[in-house]
Amino acid sequence: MKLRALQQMFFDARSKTDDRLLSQLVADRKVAPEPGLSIYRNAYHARLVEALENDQKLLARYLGDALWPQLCTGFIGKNPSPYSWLRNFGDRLPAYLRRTEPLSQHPEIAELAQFERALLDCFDAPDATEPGVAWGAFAGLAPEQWPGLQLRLVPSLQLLSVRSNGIAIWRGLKAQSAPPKASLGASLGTPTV
Amino acid sequence: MFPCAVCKKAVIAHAPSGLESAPALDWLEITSENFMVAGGKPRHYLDAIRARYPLEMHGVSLGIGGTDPLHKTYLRALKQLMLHIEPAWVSDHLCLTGVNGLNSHDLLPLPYSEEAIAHLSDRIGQVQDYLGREILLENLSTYVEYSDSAKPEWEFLTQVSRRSGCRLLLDVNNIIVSARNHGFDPEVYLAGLPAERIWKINLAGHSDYQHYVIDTHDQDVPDAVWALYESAIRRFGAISTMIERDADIPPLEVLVSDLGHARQCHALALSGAAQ
Repeated sequence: MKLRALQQMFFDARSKTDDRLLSQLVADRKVAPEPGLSIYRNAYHARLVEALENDQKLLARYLGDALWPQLCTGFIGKNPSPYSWLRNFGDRLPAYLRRTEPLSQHPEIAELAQFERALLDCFDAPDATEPGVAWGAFAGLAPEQWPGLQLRLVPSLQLLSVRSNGIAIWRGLKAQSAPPKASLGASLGTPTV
Repeated sequence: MFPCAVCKKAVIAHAPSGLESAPALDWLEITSENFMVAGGKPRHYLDAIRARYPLEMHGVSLGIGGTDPLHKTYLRALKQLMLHIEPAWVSDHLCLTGVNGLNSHDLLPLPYSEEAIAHLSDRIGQVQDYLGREILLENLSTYVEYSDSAKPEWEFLTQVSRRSGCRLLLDVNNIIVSARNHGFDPEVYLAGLPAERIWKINLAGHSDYQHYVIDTHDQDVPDAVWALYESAIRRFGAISTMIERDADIPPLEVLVSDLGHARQCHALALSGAAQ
């Protein structure tokens, strides 16, 4: 079999319903083809679940041990990764949550995921090339300097548009206290230290 | 002088406090992809570590055996990082990672065929030309074997390395894992390798499920791996060695102590006392 066809067959075999690869494997080894292939299938799923859990620790906690694995399985099945970096695998999770029933009926879930994702992006965003300005520095500005004042935002800044209290829920979870009840109407909750 | 190091995850798990005492490590390895970012915390720690130790870059996403075109964005980021930290080596795995624009984020095996050798030689040449240096490629731990494989793994590695000019990163634990899963003699594997092309050795632990073995990097280096390592050092000489530990990571001093054992293996094997 041509190399590319064999590779496509192996990639397709990550789905448990596609066993065509088994006919291309040596049968008389200590590990038979079927259990051998299962090791790759299990590793594929486990690795992607681990990546999502690393990205979305608080979402996983919010959804709990029943819903979170279901979400992972659904997302992994519908979103094969086009990324070179595993770090990006969860990029599309917030959008998936916004459009996928039944979780899409609870906008705070997608917004919580979006907020966690944005935090991750902040941590490895480009560094600011100029030092930040402390609030106190503004008090020292002469009145005639204000009209010409221009502020440049740090590269890591992101603006999120929210319509629920997803971020307040995130803060509650982060503080390991009971999160507020989900509601519409943007609420950022109480900052935690 | 036999440079030794512990794995990136082990060090990151202990950073920054673990490194404040500047443990006696000759060099450290990073997972390249973790630092191919614009800035922020990862790059801050990277620069701090680089200031104290020589570094080596080890990637998991090159996909050198794939049949999609080489990923230019990835290669550009890899080269930028390489120029920034000036690593001793740049390495990845002799494997497939994805196809048709999609990534498995796994290290999938290749058939040991003439077609694969020709394909790899061309691709490795492209990468080495672009980076302006030789790369190291690592043998995998595998759980299946293709009917299309026309030769044993060690012959495949030898031919790929000689034809492409790449060096080999010999993962001794992976040899033990694959030997158990496929039923070959690991000493025959070592005997079939080209000594002059082996540039680095990795040691790690695995999980033993009796009927099969999985490369998990969450255990101490087992006796069988240490024994094969001694044999490898006797055959190939003083090769830089790293201990990989990616989960259930013990205190850094334990890993540093294991490196002491690796150094002892070097000394014993080379003096002939271990024979």
